Amino acid sequence: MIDLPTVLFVAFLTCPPIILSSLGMNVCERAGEYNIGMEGVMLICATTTYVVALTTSNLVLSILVGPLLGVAFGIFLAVLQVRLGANQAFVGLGIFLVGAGIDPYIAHFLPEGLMGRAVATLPRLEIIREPYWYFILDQNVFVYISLAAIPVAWLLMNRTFFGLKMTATGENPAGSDVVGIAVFKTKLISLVVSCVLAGFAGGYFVYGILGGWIVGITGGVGFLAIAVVRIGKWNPLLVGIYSVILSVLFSFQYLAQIVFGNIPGEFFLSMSYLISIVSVVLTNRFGKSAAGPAALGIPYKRE
Amino acid sequence: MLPAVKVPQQAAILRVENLTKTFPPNVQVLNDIDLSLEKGKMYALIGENGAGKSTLLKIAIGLYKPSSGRLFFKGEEITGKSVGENIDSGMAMVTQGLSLISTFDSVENTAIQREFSRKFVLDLSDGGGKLSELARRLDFKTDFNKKVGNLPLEDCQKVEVLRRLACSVDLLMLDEPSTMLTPLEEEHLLHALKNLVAEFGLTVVITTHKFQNLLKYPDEILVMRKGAIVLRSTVEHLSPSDVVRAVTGEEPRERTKADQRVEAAPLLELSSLDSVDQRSGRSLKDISLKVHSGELVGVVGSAFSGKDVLAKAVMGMAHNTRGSVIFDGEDITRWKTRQILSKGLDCVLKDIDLMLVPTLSLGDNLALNQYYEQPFSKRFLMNRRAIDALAEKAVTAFAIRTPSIRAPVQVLSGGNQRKVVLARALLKESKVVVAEDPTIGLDIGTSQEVMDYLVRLRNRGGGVLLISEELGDVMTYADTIYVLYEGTVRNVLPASEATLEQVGAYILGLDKA
Amino acid sequence: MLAFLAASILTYIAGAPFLEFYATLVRRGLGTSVGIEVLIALTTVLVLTGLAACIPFSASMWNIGGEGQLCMGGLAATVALVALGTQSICVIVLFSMIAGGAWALIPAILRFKFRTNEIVSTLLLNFVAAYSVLYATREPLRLPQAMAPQSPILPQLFFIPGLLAVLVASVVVSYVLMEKTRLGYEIQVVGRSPRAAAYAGISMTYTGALAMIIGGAFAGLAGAIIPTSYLMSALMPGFSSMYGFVGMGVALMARLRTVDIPLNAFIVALLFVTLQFLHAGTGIPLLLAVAVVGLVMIVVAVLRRK
Repeated sequence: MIDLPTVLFVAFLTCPPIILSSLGMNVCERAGEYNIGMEGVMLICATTTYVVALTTSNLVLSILVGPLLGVAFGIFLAVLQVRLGANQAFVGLGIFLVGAGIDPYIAHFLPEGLMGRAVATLPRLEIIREPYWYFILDQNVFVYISLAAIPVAWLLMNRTFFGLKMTATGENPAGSDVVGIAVFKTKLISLVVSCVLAGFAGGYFVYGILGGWIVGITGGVGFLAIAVVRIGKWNPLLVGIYSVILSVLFSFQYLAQIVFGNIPGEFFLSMSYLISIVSVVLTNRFGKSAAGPAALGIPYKRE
Repeated sequence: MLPAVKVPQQAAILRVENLTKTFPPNVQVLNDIDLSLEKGKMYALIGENGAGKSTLLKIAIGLYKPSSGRLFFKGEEITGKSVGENIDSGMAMVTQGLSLISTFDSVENTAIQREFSRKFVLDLSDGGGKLSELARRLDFKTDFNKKVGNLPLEDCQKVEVLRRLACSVDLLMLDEPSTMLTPLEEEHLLHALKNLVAEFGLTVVITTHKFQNLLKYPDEILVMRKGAIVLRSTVEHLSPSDVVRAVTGEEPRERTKADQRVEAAPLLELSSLDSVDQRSGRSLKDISLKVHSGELVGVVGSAFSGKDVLAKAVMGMAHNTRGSVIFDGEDITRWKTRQILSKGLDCVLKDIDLMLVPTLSLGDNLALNQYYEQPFSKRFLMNRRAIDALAEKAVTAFAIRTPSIRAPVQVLSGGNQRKVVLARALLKESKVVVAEDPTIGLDIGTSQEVMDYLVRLRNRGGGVLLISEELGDVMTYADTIYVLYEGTVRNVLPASEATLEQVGAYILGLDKA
Repeated sequence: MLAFLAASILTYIAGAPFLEFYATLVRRGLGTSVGIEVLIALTTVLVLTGLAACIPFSASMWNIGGEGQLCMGGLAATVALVALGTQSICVIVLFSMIAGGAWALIPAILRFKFRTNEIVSTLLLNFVAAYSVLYATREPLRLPQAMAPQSPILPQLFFIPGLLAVLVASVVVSYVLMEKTRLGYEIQVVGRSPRAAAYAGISMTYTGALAMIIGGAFAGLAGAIIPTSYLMSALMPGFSSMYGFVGMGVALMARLRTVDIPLNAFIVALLFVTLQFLHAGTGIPLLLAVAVVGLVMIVVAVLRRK
């Protein structure tokens, strides 16, 4: 039976990846770095998490695999984009292709017969089992952590010195450099954080949503994050809120099928993307500081 | 040249030994410099563009690494140290471009500096407090809670300096801080700095081009030219002409006489023109200027006189807000560049990025100003043979050295690249050419070649508007000289009446040498 | 140099199987007629998507939407074949190129009228296009008896001669465009030096938009070819198989030079075909080829820093 609470339940169950990847994208773009390949990072982390989960049956380990890989990717990305100053669009695309390509390859390494098997998922918290409110109060820990991450991210960005310096780096790297802000280090950290969040997001698909694995499990979320950040104007609070809204939109496809009958689920999915694009365009047109960090995507060089 | 001033090692706050800096591929910007600065003094560093002033300061603060040589700050070696380390030891630098974050307000901009941002949680009180205290002391009022991007430029500049002073600074270096200040405000700033020097033993190094204040406040003046320090002296021993000569360093050459002077209506006339270059933010005010047929007009001025806007204003690349530009009888003030080009007015601009496409071939670049006309393109097709023919012509007529006609222009030397731009303007039978620093970076032989082409254009009845840093060129070739200062025309004089000292003095804002 | 890169990375995959890779390459890829057919078809597709990326890139318009433009092209072709019942290649070609071009025009308009970054818009439109295909094959264009959503079986329109014709024609047209026409000249100036373009009076908006449209058209054509050649027999969701993205890799490998695209497309196609056969034997996923292309992209991006 599909009704509103069920739809909302699904929405919140599936919101962590969108929230985390969008916040991650927000972080690195704030510091002036693109992370177009985030989808690829998420895919690799997701698949590796699955492999680890199946082979070790250790939930904690599985959860940690994603972010650990994320650290490695963050550093790698930083070397390419920050240290070497390569074109960020191409690097990002390349990483995406690598991720998409290696995705099934990693799973291929599983011992015979394990592929496709289900995996333990995070338990639900079961605070209240009420038929109506359970959609928000009966989720797994991760959902709550992800939701909490939104205000935390905002606090870190706007109420700490590190966050302020990160913003400075993205707006005026040369100016920040001359007052002694560690520009390269800040960009590195932002990329690592971004990829770690991506790692968490990717892994969650396995142990939080699906309890299993398919090829391409992340479904383009890593790219959606790019749009979400722009709609939220690089403000973690807005970004987080829009992520949740998107999640609700996505799960609406099920509801719509019942209510509207003939309209296919794909319609809502593509509507979500369309809405994102339109939102980006509109916020660009009418919003004031819509351009984002002034030095976004521009590799900083001293000489 | 006056003898170098020797400073005993102990009192030196900044010492530089055998400092050399070469940028790839092969540009030597600093040439074996030895320098010792004493604590508690105000130094003025002057010199033309490219003399090496900015580079010297940037190496000192740690933004660039020296190619060779050593640096010492407060007695300790700092060669190769990072910007952060140097700032922690007490150095600070205000660079030419604004280093403020325009989306932050002044308090935040102050607080993100190293000294105030060590904690984890944001606390603006420390930095904010110091800022207001300083502002009070120096009698500077502005809204510190407004986003810096919304403050007027002069206030921004002041906040820049103020926020550095809010930290514990022993050596403050300012690279052209007065670009956005009126002379009065610059005086105010220098006065305030001088007080700080006297009161706290702060050492200040300031690069500037405004001569007026130069003689009043600094304790010593250093002149740099082509990567070396050519003059160093206390102010008492110096006369303005000494400085001028040190800065320009050239003896005027033999003048060439014009064959004919046509006094008829001018080919190019600017009347009360106001213009702004949106990219750099610099502007011109009330410019009136004439170029007659058979006349080579020279325009000189210091780096911030606005002369870099002039060429753009004429060619439709700047925003002309008031007044007019009339070429060959037509008002081209609001015309687009392509229209202007087709009328016979062309240019050789200093900023080569505007003129050439580095990865395209010689021929392709030569065609940029006329590719849409016959014979270079018919309908949709480009006539490659015509382009190649043009390239051949340019190579022979202008002695351009290139490995092949098809080679991308970026493999040519800087000098040859300029020749390409010049060839392009001249091969198109332009009536007037605006030449902006056409000989920059060229050796004497090539410089003369280039100027000869321009002179030939003039002799044929064309007009040349030569905007140049090279006083020598202007003195030798120009028929009339305009001096720009602070965005307007300060002086106009026929070349026959001009002397090098006189013009040099005008450039620096003095009335006479 | 590029072939060397490809080869060195090919051996890396051999980390899973071993020199069986090369054996398969020669024996199956080049040896069988099936292999050759697929090879040529794929090369053609990749040449098209490579050009679809290369031409806009040359104008500094970052077209990441090749995948989507391809989908729309395929969709248009299928509509023409199924709904309108035409069988002529010309109509198909026309439809698909117009569809692809139009799909690329949208981001161009967004960029010039609304200052929206085309990386974002082209990327997201990919998904919209993909979902459109998914929807189309579920409902209007559905093949009733099939289990998974797909369109009715489409006639094979492109055989070897047709494919070769398209391949050669597209390369020739692109070459002529970029080297010999005014537009090509303008594209190059705008892409390499927007500031000098201002001097020359070249309009960034028109030139950029045209470059996008042309690129989109090529991608659209590729989309039409996929389900009507040796590669597939019908339109189905996911038919674009990342070929749009791979095309970007091809463009980079060719250093954005039209002339070098066919060779690089061939190499990549060979890679794919080999892995396809390998997959049948060892189960190694085909997508690995995509990863290889991605790796090469990164390497080129690093080497080609300006």
